[in-house]
Amino acid sequence: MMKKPFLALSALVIAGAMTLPASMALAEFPEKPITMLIGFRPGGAVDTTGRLLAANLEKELGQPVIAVQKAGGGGKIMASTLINADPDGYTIGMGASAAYTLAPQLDPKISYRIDDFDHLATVTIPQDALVVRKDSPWNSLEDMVKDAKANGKTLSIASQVAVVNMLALAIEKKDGIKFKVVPVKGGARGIQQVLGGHVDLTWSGSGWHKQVAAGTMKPLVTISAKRMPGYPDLPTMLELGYGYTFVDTFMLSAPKGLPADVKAKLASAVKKALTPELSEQLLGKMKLATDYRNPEDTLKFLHAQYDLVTPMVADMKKMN
Amino acid sequence: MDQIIAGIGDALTLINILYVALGVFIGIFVGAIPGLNAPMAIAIAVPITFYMSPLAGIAFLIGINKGGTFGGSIAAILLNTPGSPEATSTAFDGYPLARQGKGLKALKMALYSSVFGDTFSDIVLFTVAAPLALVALKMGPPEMTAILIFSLTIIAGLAGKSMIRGLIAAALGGFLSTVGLDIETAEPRLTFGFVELDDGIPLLPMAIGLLALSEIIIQIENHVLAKERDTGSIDVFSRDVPRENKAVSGREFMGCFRTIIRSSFIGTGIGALPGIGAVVAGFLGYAAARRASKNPDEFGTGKLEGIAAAEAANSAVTGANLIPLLALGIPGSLSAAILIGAFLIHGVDPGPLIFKEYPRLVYGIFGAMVIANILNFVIGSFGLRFFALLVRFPKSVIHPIIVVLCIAGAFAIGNTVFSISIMVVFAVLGYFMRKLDFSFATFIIGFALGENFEISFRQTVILFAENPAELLTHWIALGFILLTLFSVWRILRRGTN
Repeated sequence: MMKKPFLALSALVIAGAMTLPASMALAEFPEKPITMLIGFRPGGAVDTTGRLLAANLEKELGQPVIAVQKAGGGGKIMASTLINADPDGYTIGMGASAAYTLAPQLDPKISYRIDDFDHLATVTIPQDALVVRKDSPWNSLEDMVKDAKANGKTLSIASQVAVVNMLALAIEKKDGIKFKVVPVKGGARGIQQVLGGHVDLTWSGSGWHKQVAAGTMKPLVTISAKRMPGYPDLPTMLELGYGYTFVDTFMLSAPKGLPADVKAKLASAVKKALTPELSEQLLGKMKLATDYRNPEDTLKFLHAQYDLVTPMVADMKKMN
Repeated sequence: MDQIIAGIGDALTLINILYVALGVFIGIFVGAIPGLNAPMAIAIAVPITFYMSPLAGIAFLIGINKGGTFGGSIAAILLNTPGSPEATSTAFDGYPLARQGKGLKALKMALYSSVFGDTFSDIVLFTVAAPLALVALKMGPPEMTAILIFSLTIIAGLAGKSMIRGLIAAALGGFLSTVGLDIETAEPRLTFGFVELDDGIPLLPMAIGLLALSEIIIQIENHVLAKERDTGSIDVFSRDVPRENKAVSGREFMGCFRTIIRSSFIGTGIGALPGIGAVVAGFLGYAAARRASKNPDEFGTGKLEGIAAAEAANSAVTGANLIPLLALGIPGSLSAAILIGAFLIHGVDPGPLIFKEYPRLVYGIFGAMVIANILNFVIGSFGLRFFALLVRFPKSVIHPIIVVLCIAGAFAIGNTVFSISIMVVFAVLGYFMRKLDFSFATFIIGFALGENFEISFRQTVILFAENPAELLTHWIALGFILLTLFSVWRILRRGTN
């Protein structure tokens, strides 16, 4: 019964696919619809990236790409499902890099590691920022640190993910100030705490854009690796000498052991599917920047991110 | 003003009305079926709205949400298996009424109070969303902790015959709410290595097992042990049923009016606060009505007022849930969180700017909400006749269908067999709780409030550990603590009399 909307959707999708030029030679991959597991809940940044990409992938592959939600644990549930799927290219997973690089270090009991997958591509990145209320006296990270030092203030920061705990640690280490890290469930709750004046600052992956546009909040710094397209004046933590960056990159993976031709075909289809129009749409609607990497570079990127957080995870575990 | 009229005009186009009607119908339908419910239907429907205009898409989803809140009461009343978790409190008086042959009357009362509560909270949303959202924003960790502590006193009104057992059940619920990643350290607690439990025990499969499936087990057992004849063929339309058992008279409705108003306020208040939810609102409305009543002992035996109290409160949450969403961009519930996605897909970011940037769309949505309320009433009234036919089928037909739907519903929540296991475990737990007379209402309250309570409490400790005296300046929190002490004192005094 609940499948009906899906059926209707698949019917639409199939109908759409059939009107395409018949580029599908029969014996060649893909011969049947592809399932795309999505590691986050409907309507979020990862989900939207996945679904819009799936629509374009269909055109490239000549087969329907059906999105199935496997939300939870920041992409962990999707990853641990994907690892058990057949490596035939018919099951792929849309997730986020933290599930591969950070989660297994925080919880070593997790059943998968980076190399248990054939990663196909990195696709988009959120444009994040450390934000404070508009009426805050600080206009930069420097102001904030100065104020805290001069007046012996312990600052409070709302944290929804380990990334924020590590960020607070990085500032504590360099500047010798102290944070009260206030845990919250999800980025929206962090913004709520800051807007309500209960907490001094928070880090936000995407919800902050509209608050800045509305003039209720201002950004101090980003933990992106590079300055963000929409905010050329906002410095990165790297530039300011904190040696900290973490970009939870949205990416497409498959279980390890895909046949070489299947992997090549999928990888090139993803690259083509990520059209300039799609990038523009993602940036405009969801404030997501495109950051494409091919399979080899994606694997390198994941290992680099893994190694980057290793010492920080160790520091964090000491604190607990 | 032009924008308001233009927006309402957009809402009144035929295609929009049709989408709203379809949404309301789907909502009532999935709400009525144990195991399926509105948040699930919304999650599945979001991708379909890719292909609609923003207004049509959002109106469609809001229709599902509104229909779902009423729909949940149908199975709760007729089968004692709440179609959705928030209808649990509706079953307390609804099912006894249905057994007395007054099922149709109970359903009508549920519909009237549901639509009333929903409309009330919509009006609050249309008129005072922005100021109310600012008040909600002032509720920081200490205030939330105090409000949640106060909410826990409703356990007393719902514990059933034994307060001790009620408290044990609530404590168990609270304990199970701690399963999942620790909010501070992100380390798994009590998950036994299942990543599926990292986000905690999912409420929906748990509720389906506890409420719907365990009730079926009990009914099947009664049938097998021949404790109960198959009374599945009460014909609520039959000429033998007196007219007064099929309708709610004006006097009866007015008799419940104070209760409905009280519950509407409670539901709206809960809805405006992000994160508490309709389940708790239903229980709070019910408990408040019982506390205010001259004959509290009549509650639970088939009192129309009990249905009115529960349904007005849980439905009033739906409109008010959009207050933090539209005014601040912060979702107040699971459904609202999924709705954000639907907005974003259409390039609309719900938040403080939405009234400035998309006034026409916002007023279009408000228009669609009014239409949805009217259609909820109309479709609900017709639907009642259709759904009330359900009880004419023998239980030997209905039960297997419900079991299959429960399993399908649990699976659809996460597309995983794991949810089905959760459902089965809680069905067994629910069976023993019913047998041993442990209240599952207090269990669910403990579970639903436990997680928020833990977070708010730990946030308060982190923020105020250095300077606890500062807490004394938080007068809202102090007020709720005093209110709690007063309630506990009253409960204890009543207990010793």
